[in-house]
Amino acid sequence: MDIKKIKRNNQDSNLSKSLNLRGVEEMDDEELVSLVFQDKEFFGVLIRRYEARIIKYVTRIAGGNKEAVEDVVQNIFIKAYVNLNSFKKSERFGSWIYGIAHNECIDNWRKYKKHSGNVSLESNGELLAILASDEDLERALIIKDGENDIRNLLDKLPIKFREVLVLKYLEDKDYGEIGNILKKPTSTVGTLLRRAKKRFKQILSENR
Amino acid sequence: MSLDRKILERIERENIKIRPEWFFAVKNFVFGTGTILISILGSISLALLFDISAQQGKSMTWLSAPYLWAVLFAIFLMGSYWLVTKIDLLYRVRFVPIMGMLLCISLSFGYLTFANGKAEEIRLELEKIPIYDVIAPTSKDLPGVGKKPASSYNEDIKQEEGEEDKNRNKDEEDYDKQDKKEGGDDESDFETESEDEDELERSENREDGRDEVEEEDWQEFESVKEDVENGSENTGNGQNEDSDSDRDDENDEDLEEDEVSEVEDSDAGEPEEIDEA
Repeated sequence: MDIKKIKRNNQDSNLSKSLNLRGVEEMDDEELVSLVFQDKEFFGVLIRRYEARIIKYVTRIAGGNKEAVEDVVQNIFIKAYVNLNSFKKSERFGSWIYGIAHNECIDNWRKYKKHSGNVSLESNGELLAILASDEDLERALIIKDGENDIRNLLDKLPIKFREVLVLKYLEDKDYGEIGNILKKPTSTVGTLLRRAKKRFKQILSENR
Repeated sequence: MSLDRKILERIERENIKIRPEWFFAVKNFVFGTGTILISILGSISLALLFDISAQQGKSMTWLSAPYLWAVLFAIFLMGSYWLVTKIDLLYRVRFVPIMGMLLCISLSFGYLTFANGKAEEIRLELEKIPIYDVIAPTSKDLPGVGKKPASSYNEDIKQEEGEEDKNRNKDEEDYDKQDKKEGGDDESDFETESEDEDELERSENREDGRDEVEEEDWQEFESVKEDVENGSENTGNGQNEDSDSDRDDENDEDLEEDEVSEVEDSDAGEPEEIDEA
């Protein structure tokens, strides 16, 4: 879609009325970022594209009620807007915004450690299956009867282990993307994952 | 209201602006410069560590070891690593390569600073600070520290070598003096020996068995003999016209003791039998 045509059609500041949404929604993240510098309304498209994923990620990592999560998500997108010039086209926008979300979750967790509970794991069955790499663990998890206990177990994990497990098994990110999000070398991510699984099993065996 | 509208309205309301590109370039520059500065401080700490250790040498104990500078070096090294990881894209590099590079840089500059004596200068300046003697041992407290400047380590080696040379020369001079006193192995003797060797070679090559020196002696002898003959005897003789070999036999008989001893001393060949009159 021709950018100049979109801009010509844009008579008032309310982008959602004048834009050809179908065309804009098909644009790449990198193209949208370059348009944001001309009109901040294009940023709204990016927000809508990543809103659900970021909310889910924050809920899984930081926990808290719906309002708290929404506050954190707002802060994430505001920071993304302010630091838009630090986004490099060689990166993926998804990894970049997840990195901002990671930093915000850490800051939020440090501020509000008491509220770090109530981690939501709507797909904890999937996580169960992945983490339970041997029979004993699987049997133990079945006995535990999953949901609340898994949530509590993950609450007990340090945030760095929780993050890497969620990014790998629930967000389905590869090692490189996790490295970009966490700002760590790829080899460190592998080590973190191994330690996270080991710690999870340890906590599970302690709570039998 | 949807989340995207809330966020866009908040941006509008609070007049939130996008940071310019130069902000991030300056940020990288600041972290990079900070890394260099912290590395320099680490190098100086290491240089001071080398300096104090070298000063103390074998007299270093657990109490006098320069712990302060070792701890500071470790802190500066970790600080520079942290700053490096803040620079864009360098977070992807593993710990070992970054730390290895920082360590090499610190060791190189630290050793250079120590080797050219700058570490000693820095230490002496630090000792002027009142609080320094509380946290680190100074040259007053420790036996080895401060007595020998670090910059003179190379000079010490040269000085020792110079002293050895001097002693050797002195010994040779004393030996020479002693020889001269004893009249033994002095230069004139060495020269006499070489002269004797030369004479021996010449005598071997000579047809008549007599070399130039002997010839001179014989000439002198001849003149003395003539004087004696002229003085004691009025008769002329034809002995002057005799050959050298005949002269050897005839003249030996007529020589007085003094003249014989003179000839024997200057003779290089075997002493001839002389029948005294």
